[in-house]
Amino acid sequence: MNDTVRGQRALAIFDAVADLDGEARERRLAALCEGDAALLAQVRALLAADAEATDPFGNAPRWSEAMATDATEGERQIGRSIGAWQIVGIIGHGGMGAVHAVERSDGAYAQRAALKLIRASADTPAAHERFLRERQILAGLQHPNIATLLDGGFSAGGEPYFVMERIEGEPIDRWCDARRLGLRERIVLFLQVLDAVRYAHRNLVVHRDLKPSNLLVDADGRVKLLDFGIAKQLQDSGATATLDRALTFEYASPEQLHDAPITTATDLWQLGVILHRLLSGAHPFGLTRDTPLASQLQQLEREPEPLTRAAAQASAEQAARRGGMSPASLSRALRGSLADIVQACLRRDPEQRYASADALASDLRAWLDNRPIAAVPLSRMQRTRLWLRRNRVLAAATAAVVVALLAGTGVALWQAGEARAQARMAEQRRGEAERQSANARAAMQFLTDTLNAAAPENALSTEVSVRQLLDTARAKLDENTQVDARVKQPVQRMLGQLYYSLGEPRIAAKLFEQGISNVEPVERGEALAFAVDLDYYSGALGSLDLYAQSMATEQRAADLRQHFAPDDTGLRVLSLDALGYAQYKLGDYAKAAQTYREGLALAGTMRQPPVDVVINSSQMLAYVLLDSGQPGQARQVAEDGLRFAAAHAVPRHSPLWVNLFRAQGDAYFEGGDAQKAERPIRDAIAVQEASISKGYRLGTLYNSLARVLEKLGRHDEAIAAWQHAISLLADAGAGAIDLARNWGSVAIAHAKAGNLDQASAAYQRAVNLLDAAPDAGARAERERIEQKLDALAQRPARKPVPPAGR
Amino acid sequence: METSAGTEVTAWLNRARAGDAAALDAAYCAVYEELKRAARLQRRRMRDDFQTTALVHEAYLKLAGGARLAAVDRNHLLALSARAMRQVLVDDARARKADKRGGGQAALTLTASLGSGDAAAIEVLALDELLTALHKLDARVAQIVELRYFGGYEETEIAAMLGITDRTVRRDWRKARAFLLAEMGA
Repeated sequence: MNDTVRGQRALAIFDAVADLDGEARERRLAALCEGDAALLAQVRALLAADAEATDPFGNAPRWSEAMATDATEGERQIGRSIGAWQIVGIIGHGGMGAVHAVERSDGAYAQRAALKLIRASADTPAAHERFLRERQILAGLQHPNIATLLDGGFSAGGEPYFVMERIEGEPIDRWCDARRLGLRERIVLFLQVLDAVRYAHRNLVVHRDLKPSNLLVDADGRVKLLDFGIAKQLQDSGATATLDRALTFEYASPEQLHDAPITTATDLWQLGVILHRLLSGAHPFGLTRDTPLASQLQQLEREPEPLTRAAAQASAEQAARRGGMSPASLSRALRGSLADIVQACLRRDPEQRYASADALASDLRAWLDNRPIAAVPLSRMQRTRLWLRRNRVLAAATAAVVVALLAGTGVALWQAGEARAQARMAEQRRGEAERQSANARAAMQFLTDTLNAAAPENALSTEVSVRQLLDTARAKLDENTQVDARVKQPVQRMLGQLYYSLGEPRIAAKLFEQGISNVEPVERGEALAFAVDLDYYSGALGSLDLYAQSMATEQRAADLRQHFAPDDTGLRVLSLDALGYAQYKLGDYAKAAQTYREGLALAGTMRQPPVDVVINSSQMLAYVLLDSGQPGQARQVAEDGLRFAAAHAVPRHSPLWVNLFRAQGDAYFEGGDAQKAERPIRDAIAVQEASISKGYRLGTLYNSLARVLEKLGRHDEAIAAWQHAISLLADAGAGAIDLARNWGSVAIAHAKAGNLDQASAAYQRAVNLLDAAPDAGARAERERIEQKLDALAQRPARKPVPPAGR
Repeated sequence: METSAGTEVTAWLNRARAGDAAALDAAYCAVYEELKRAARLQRRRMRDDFQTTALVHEAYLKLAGGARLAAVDRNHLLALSARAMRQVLVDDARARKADKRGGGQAALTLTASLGSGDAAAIEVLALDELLTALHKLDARVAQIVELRYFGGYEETEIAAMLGITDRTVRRDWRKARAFLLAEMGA
């Protein structure tokens, strides 16, 4: 008998006798081993081992972690300095590296933050790119409910890192439970989540990993959305949609499970799961941490548990944590609107969910105000009326573009209008609404077909850029002259929005011009979506310096909103902000000031005014007033804005503060009080320095500071500030005239201080810069500096002006 | 073998759905590489302790494409994930051993503090060798050990995956445990 056969026999005999005891076992053993001593010894060894009753590899669950952590790796980083930051601890571990607690080590000012560093071992080119993408996404998102990006760069060793606002908070579900918040308070808190998500969507970012652990609530009760590690930018080419980091099944949407296109609707699903959990205390598919993996997959394929049933089955403790309810009363409270709202998020088909975070927020607000909601229970929806059926043949890249078109820009709003139209259909204008949606369906079909035709056969393996697809789609659209304008125009407007987002205002304006001609919306949803198109069009026209047209277009958007949604104050405030800007650009300061004032007054009547819009209007109004020579009023407006920002808890480092401070400082300065101007300008500088985008804006702030210091007679400090401004502006690629102007100021300051040699040197630098860019502007600037110096009657020695032109 | 994203897998799966039996095996081969890649990533995620969940999820997405996997495919995939994790851990453990030797440090000993990477590496290599031996004696018993230790699966999950009863899993597990302890004590 060879070893293998003996081993097999031994296991079989062990199996046969293991359950027997004493005599019986011995008899059976002897019989089965048939006098083979080696075999018998082997079986006895197995039986002895069996009696030990220990788990031979009880540490197995920790192997992976133990080997990956390397025990000391995280701690090794402590004390290390990266950029201006020093690592003081570990906050957590992410997919590509650790998140460290850091403090500013340059002594500029005390600041605690979180630093994310890519691990050397995870630093593949793909990981690198992903990491930088997260940083880029965060840099583009400035919102009070999103953790702010403060800084970023490469360490001395070349590892990329970025620094975020450090949130000391608790996951939203635990926070609510710990404070035993009632349903209303939970919904009000959840609206902050929606605000952040809505903002991200407007910036074409889908988070894809929304869950309570990424939604922290700080001590002030403010929600902060974190971790854009797997977020997706919709304008990216979607061909490489590979998931690089795993998600937990618990919050994964059906399209994530089935690798279907990811859209903003994915976030809506995850919001639904979170909302379900916040309200009922349970997971909509009954998953818990302990659910075995295989059953998780099966449970997720079922229909979600209705909110009311989940609540009825909640423990007494869970119900009590919701404002002291019982399971039965909780279930009753959730019946109706809230149950419908959650259900409308948790629809398997992304197109049947809420069309946007806005639409969800609007329904939740309606619930808070006891108004009827827009979401229609599924039973009444016509499941077959899906105007964009997922086309299995559609190549991945094409699908991603369609998704971007649908989700990111405008169409989401259009869809919301569509949903509202459906809800009203039973009551009135059935024929009209159906005609409209038939047109819309045809438009989408046309777009899908066009993009599909544009994608190469092997789109799965070849990356096709969004830009390429758009260009092809646009060409096809131009070629095709037989399509009905009502089908063609929505596509043109959609493409217009996308081109504008891609930084192509000229193409965008042309598409809008065609896309809006002779369009007169007759229905609210359609009109509001059209107004968004007009916002974009106005923006494109403004970029092209066509201010009058930009103005007229914005006016039309405002009129549409006024006519179709007179009740929607938020939209009106937004309109007025955009309108004011167009008027300001057009040079009509009086009208612009009036428009901004109207918007701010209106916002003052709102329970939840749009914070970023109000701040923008405030700062713009302050500058309009400054430009019209009213520094006193300008200062008042800036100070109102500052109070508003404080009252709405805008985070300390938010760039929203910068222009308010600066406006206050400039208003003091223009009003002749340089003394008081210094503080606010320095405040603006402090905020700007903490943010990632230093460059040009910071340079101009130092310029403002220098101006103030010079006025106060602190020449040396002024000169230092100017020189700092110059180095910042030069780094940011500022033009020769900008830089020369600053050197000219330095020269004048030196001259005033009586340092003629240094004045001469600074003047020479200005002249050198201007000589290198000898155009009309440069000559004018040079003359301006010379006049100033002449006026000081202490003109330093200088060489003669060279002949104009070259 | 490196596979490019899900393309190849999708192609094989399409053929499998069209009735080509060999194609499914090819899909699994392709996805196994994917699983190993995912396992490597998974190892660096320490937030959820030992979870094959995330690992399988990724591969599931790759393999499933737009379709829903039949239960049998799904079970096969879950089982494969444990194999992938084993492979990755063994590779790492070997690399670690080689590193230590190269660094001229003292040979690894079992006295290293529990839970440390070195101790884990030793256990991983030991179990890998034992499993190779056990596989020759009883392939199913060996697979159960693999699913339990490398996949982190529970008894009922293993039963469902292998299409056997819980009781059979328990019996096989008892055999496996006795074998492992006896071999380690020898």
